[in-house]
Amino acid sequence: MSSEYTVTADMVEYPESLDDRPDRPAPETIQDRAAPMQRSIRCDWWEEAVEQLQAIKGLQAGWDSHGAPSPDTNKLEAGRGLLGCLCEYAGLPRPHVNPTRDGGVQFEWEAGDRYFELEVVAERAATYLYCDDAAGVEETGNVFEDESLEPVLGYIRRVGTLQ
Amino acid sequence: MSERTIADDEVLYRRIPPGSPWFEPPDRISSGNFKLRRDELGISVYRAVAVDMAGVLDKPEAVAESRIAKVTAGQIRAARDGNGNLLGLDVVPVNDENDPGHAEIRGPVISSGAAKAMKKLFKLVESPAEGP
Repeated sequence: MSSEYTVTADMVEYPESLDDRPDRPAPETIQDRAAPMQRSIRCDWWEEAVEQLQAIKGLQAGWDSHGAPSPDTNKLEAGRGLLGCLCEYAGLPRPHVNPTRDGGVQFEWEAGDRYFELEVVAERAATYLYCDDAAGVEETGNVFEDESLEPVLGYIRRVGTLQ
Repeated sequence: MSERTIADDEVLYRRIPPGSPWFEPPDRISSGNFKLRRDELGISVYRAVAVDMAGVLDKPEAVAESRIAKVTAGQIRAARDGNGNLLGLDVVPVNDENDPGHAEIRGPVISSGAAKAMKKLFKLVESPAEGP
């Protein structure tokens, strides 16, 4: 089974600020998670992020000194696939990439009072948290395979406008 | 709630694993450090009144180059989510003779919002010489 976040180009409604839609035939289903470089990667931080994911993959059990298991390869691959999908949108700000204590990985964007994190919790599911401390806003939700990434892109953009 | 055997002004230490300095800013703490494993009840911390930072870093399970972040019990108890709601977190002792000063941050739920709140509250200590 693929753990890819299967998103077709016509499933994503692009925010106005993302008017540089990937110039590839649409609709196109993104399925090849094993070779994300075949996608239209449009973020200059992609390769560094992949290196960080590789570094996380090499962590041993107990890496946090509080008994965390070694990272789950399937979750990491799902995270790589998800990040690859997001990287198809030019100008997306660089995330922080960190392991979680339950074997997953999370991507964080932070600027000023705004914060967005996307945690891969299973092969086909991620949870998200958006906070705007100045506005007193906290929103949470889930992203599942085959769902639109529009909300996620919108949150990242909200944080990105402050960077 | 606990019986407040840990006073609000008590300083708590938590080990933070070394990051990837070539990718992550060395002075940044991820909220991932404050999320529970499935089998955990709380976030492990040490009470400064019982063990100093060097002692926390000397624990057998401590990973080399770990850092220390600190917070007070009162800050944890007063933590709120992004909407301003009290998270209901508490700090409870879980020490035994083999692990003096051990405590846990617990709550009704250690949500991602709670983890993010703790990320904001915990401050990295530059070196053990900084003291509590």
